[in-house]
Amino acid sequence: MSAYSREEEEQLEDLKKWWERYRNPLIYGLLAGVVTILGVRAWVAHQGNLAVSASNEYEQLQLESRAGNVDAVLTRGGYIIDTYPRTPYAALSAFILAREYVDKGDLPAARTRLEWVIEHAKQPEFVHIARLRLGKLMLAMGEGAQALALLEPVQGDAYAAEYEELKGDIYAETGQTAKARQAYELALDKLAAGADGRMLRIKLDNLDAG
Amino acid sequence: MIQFIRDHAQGVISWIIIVLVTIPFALWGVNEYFQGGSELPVAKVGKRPVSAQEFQQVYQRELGLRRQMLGDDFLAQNETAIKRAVLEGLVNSEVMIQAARKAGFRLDDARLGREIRAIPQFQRDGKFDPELYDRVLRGAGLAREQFEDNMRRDLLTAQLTSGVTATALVTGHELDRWLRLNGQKRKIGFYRLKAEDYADRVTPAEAEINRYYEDNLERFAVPERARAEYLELSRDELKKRVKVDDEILRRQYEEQAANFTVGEERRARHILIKVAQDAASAEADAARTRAEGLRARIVAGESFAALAREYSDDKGSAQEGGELGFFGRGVMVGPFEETVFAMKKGDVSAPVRTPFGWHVIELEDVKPGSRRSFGEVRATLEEEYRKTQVEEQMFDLMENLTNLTYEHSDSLKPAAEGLGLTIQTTGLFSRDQGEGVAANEAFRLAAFGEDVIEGGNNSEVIQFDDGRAVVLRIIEKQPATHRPLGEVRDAIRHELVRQGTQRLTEEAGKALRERLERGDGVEAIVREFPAASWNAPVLLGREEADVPTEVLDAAFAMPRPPQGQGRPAVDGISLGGGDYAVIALYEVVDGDLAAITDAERNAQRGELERRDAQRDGADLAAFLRARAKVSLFEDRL
Repeated sequence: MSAYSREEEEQLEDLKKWWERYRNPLIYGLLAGVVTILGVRAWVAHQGNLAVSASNEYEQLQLESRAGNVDAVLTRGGYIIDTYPRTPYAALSAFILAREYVDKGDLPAARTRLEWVIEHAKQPEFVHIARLRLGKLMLAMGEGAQALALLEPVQGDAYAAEYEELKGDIYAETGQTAKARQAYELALDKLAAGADGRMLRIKLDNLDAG
Repeated sequence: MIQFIRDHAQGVISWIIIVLVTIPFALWGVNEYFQGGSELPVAKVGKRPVSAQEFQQVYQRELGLRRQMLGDDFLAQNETAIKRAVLEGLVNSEVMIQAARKAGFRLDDARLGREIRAIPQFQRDGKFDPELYDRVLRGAGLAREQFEDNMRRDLLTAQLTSGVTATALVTGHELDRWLRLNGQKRKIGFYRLKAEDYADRVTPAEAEINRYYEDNLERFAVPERARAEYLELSRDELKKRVKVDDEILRRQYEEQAANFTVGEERRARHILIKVAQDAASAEADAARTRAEGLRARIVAGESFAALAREYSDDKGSAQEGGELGFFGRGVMVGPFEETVFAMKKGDVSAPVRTPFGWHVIELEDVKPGSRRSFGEVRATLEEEYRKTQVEEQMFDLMENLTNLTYEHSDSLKPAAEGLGLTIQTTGLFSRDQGEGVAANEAFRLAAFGEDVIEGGNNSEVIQFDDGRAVVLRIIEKQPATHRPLGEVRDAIRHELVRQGTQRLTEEAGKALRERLERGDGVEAIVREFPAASWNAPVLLGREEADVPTEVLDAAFAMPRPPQGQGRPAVDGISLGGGDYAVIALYEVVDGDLAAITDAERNAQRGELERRDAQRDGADLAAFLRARAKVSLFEDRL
């Protein structure tokens, strides 16, 4: 019995020593943990607040765009892109701006907005769309060759039919009939089931042999 | 070195401990990834399961919609295909919302509130009404949280998709290109060679007809056919044989008296003074006093309805002056019902306590229970009786039929005599086709079973979907064969003439085409091919009613004529019905931008925008779907 309790006492002694030795690291560890978790939460909350603010601004932007209030759209759109560049609303605002500029006939300004999306957007789906729209713009600005350089290296995935059709347009415009035919045929082939291929077929049929 | 490690050992261990303690904190919050129902999901998108319950809800709604739209045609729809489509829809919308959340789309409660308040169904006189909101949701069987959550999902998804589709770009350059292309006109002339002009030049020889018959023997195949005799147990037939008289039906009427009785109903109005079920007795007493006060005023002659409108806590009925309408037993809470059914018409009750509080009740009207007369329900009773009698007989009859046809497997006579049935016969039918009773696939399947058609035995008892039961045996067999040449000679001759004519027409067309390509004039050609009719060149658009579409389509797909040689581009195509057309394309004129009105220009711009928007939306969905981790469990549908 006494041997047992002595053993117990020894264990208690060991435990105390262990505690003496590791008390500080344990406390620091706990503190570090609490600080980390609070930090992460605060950061997440901050991001969430940013996104909500951007969302509300974007709602306004949509309303102004629908109302045809061009000046307000240009101002607010720029503000969203500058203030909330890491939210998806920046890319969508850039799309709205690009469209407004195209309607105004200011292609270079539209181009700048689309280039911003390609460079900065974190969503690959937005980058694809920006690239396709930029390609159209460049073709309209007489920069077919540069547009091809932009489009050709891209793996189009679900956007493949759109890429091929645009490439076909550029080739057709620059007189590369064989390449245009190839691109249009590929586009028809990749067209989603149920999509309307009439326009594409007309473009293909219009090509002469060559 | 060793000294160094010893000096630093404590520090290293300390760091390890710090890290070990920190890790669990960092992982906190992970558990939210593992939420979800415990039942088996029908699909999984990322980490979120799509539950079978969710699926059923949408599926049933879809079925309801289709039933409404298609009526009886609805039955013909393929259930599995609908289920798949519903599942696809659920998965795709889940993919979209997850992508939207991951991309960082957010919506705060204030915005959600704005959107909900703007929905006309929740508005009264143009203003949002919270009570109406709750009522509409309850009517639709939706909890508030559920509706608001769905709404948030829809709005977030819409931000993602509309942000892409509503911003489709159409440049002026692109529009001009399209207007020139779509408005393009082509100067086209064409020869048409009619097949009928060549028909009298084709006379197939007997040997050719024979060879065609031999080569295409399978086209004239006649499948194995058979005739059967059969016995039929029909519930409809048996029903007619059941003996019925008034005495039996009267007995049924008495036995089922409860079914023909409508219970007494009473109409009442009430005033409720609300008291919680567990309210303190002082509070309950106070309420009771108020209720008694109201009763006294009513008895003294004030209007029950007016007081109900003013004082009743049952808001629903208060507006109607406390009116509850007619109700039978089993509708209202116990004490309320007992009181109402014990009152006399025109009485106003003393306050009655229910879980809702104190009620003062006025009994307005009594509709006594009634019993439908024997005459009224006789037909129903008779039908019912015949049906049950048949079902009772049916079991024995089926057993007898089975035994008798099995024991005497080479004849239906013993069963026919034993059961009082007549042996009937069918016409000839094949494995795939038959008339009368043989129109039934189960019947044909049984008839061509090996034991029946080869073994000559009775079939087993076949149950049809409409409740009939049949046993059959084969009485005549006709092996598979071919229709004899004599019978099909004319049809073959006809076919050979058609083929020959088409070949001749095509040959002539090709020869004509060569002349045209060589540069021969129209007159010379027409002289040489008197059968060809010439349609002189006209400038045509993409849609012209009086030119065959095949010609138009081919002409708009032809390469442009060589420049400066004055000669057309040439193509030849077979038309439906064996005719042949040789097309000459003289000129391609692009659409004239100057001649296009602003309205037309805008319409076409809209067309291009819509097309781009539709594609961008579809491609976005496909792109996100391809990147999402989706598992479907279609076997659980």
